[in-house]
Amino acid sequence: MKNVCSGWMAAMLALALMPASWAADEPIKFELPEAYFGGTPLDYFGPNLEKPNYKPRPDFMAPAGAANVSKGKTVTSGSAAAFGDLKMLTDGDKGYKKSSLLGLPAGQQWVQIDLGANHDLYAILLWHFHEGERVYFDVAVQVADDAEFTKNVQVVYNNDHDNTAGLGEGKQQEYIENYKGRLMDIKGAKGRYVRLYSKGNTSDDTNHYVEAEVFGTPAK
Amino acid sequence: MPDAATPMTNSRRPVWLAVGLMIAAAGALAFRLPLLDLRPMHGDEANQAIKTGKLTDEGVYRYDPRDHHGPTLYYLAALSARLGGHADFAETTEFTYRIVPVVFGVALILLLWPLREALGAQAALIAGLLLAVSPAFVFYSRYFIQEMLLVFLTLGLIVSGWRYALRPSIGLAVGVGVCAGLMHATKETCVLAFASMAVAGVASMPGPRVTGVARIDKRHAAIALGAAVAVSVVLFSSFFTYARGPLDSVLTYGNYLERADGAGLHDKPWYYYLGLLAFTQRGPGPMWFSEGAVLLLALAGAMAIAFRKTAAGNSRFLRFLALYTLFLTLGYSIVPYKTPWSMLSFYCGIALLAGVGGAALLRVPGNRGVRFVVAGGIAAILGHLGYESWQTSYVYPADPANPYVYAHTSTAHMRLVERMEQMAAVAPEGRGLLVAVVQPDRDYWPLPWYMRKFNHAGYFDALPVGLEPAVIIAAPALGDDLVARFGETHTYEMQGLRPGVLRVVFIRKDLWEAFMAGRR
Repeated sequence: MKNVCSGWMAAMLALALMPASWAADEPIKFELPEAYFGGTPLDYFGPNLEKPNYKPRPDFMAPAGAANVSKGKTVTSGSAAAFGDLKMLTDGDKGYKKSSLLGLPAGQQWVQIDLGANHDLYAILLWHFHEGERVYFDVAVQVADDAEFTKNVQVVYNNDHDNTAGLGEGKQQEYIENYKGRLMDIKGAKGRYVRLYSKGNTSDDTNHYVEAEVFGTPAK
Repeated sequence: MPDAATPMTNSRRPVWLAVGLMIAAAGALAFRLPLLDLRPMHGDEANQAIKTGKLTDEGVYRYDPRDHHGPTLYYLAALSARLGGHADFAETTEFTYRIVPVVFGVALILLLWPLREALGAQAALIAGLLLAVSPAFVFYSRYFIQEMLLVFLTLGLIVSGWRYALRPSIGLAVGVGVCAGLMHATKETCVLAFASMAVAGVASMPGPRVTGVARIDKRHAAIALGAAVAVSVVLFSSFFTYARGPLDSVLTYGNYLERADGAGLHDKPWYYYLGLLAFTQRGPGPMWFSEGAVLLLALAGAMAIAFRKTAAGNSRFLRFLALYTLFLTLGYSIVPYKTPWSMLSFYCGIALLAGVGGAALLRVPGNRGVRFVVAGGIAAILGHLGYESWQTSYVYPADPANPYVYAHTSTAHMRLVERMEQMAAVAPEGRGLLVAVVQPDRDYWPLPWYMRKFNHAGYFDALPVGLEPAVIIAAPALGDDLVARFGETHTYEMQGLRPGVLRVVFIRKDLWEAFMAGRR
């Protein structure tokens, strides 16, 4: 009896000391665009490719209040857009149509979002061109406190398996684009700037972005 | 309206036209020459470069009636390699090959000088400027295929034929024959041009009694035919070293008739070419392309010829040009087998008609203001075409959104080329490492071009038993079998060939680790 009581007391103490954010985790509601049906399956084969999953995505839990903090925020890039406008990255249009598309030139490129202030960041939902099946190569994401990426730089996602971008050998898998976008769990990374890298795709050497949503809360 | 009955002479040599055509040719060169290696080699270009390599390295050329065109391009490219001072095929570059169509794409414009009186000087200049900046002409002048050479020779035949018609001579008869023979030795589709010229010639020049056009001398005709046959035989026989070549150059039409019959990979509807020129928007991004203004100017030219409202030129020649262009356009449109570069043959005629149309519009009755607007419109068309040439040849040279990109090697393919160089850099044997390209349908072009310095690269329908290559490049369909065989010893990744067409690349782990050690 004594043991039961002490266990109960310990559990109550743990609950009382638990951070509010843990206790209040709740699923983020993602708004997905219309799916594209058409084209032929991508003939892609490799140990580093994630198998397509057609089941509904499980809930992604984040602290209460976590919301898309990137919508309408300022976007910059390493090279001028080949077509489209940089602000299309955060304008909320996630459609598969070409009119939703921001194009960057061939080779390794990046786009960067200024969230306006430091945030605690939990997830990034990223869409490249998803009309038909494509794999974008060397996808990597960094978060930092400054626009030049010199302070508190964190690599939060990286599937660049041969370290083309020089951000380290990526351990995450490549994936086939679809309407659900790529959900990246970035585990509470802190920062103001988010930089997204890619280097071509299975169709050509250019880079396409449709939308990036960064979910977080203002930094405590 | 020009006097159709008056034979034209070449006594008038307007300096402004000579200067204008020189400027057009210089502009054409400026559009065509830079960055000839910018666009990855198309499979067909690579295949033809390899065939040229056999000629340069082994001195051997054999006409292949099944899947290759005539010998002229290969001999000219071999000459280019020699002039470039390359020791062997492996040392040649994209420039070695693509400079050949560049030269003929520019020289095409200079052929308008001897046609100045037939077309009218203003029409010749406008046509020259249109040819100089036309996106299709610029793009395919930088493409190692037969088309630009064929177009040049076809216009050469028209020039020499017309000059002969004005003043028959043995020299011009030989010129006609040489051009015709070279056309035959360039591409089999020359027969469409021959047929169109014959029909248009008969329809526009009804008889020897008509003034301005002389009668064809039978002796001259025999000389022209003899010259054509001689040129063709010399080239198809590989300078009398391959007796079957000339025979195959005729038998090949059996293959082409089968191909033209339809139900093939390259079959397209009749309006494909005109649609391509009129308006194209495809691929990601809001990019669109159009040479529709040239089509409209050509339509104006055709109407001016039909209603005898041309500004200058010889009406009989202009009627021939309009009919020839019409018949050739119909011929290419009717044949189901279509590739975009094939349209250049009739598009050249359209550009000449556009020149006639532009010149006619500059002469429309009205005040100077109207002519100023017309001149401004033509300048705007030229500016627009120039901009599109820059876009198609330099900004999106291999992008599927580009209307002239066809079954083209993806720029992503250059990652594979780069990967092979990276592996060679860490391999003890350098570019001598053993590479196997395994592709049952032999769809591996242009890889042999990019691997030309890898002297232990083999190409197989199936991987030979016992072979242990350092690198294997294979179709994804073979992936499972190769993983079972090389999964322990090799790592693997995907690389691109064409949009949506990928290859799996197996790399021996010691090479991969050595490579990655330098990257960490």
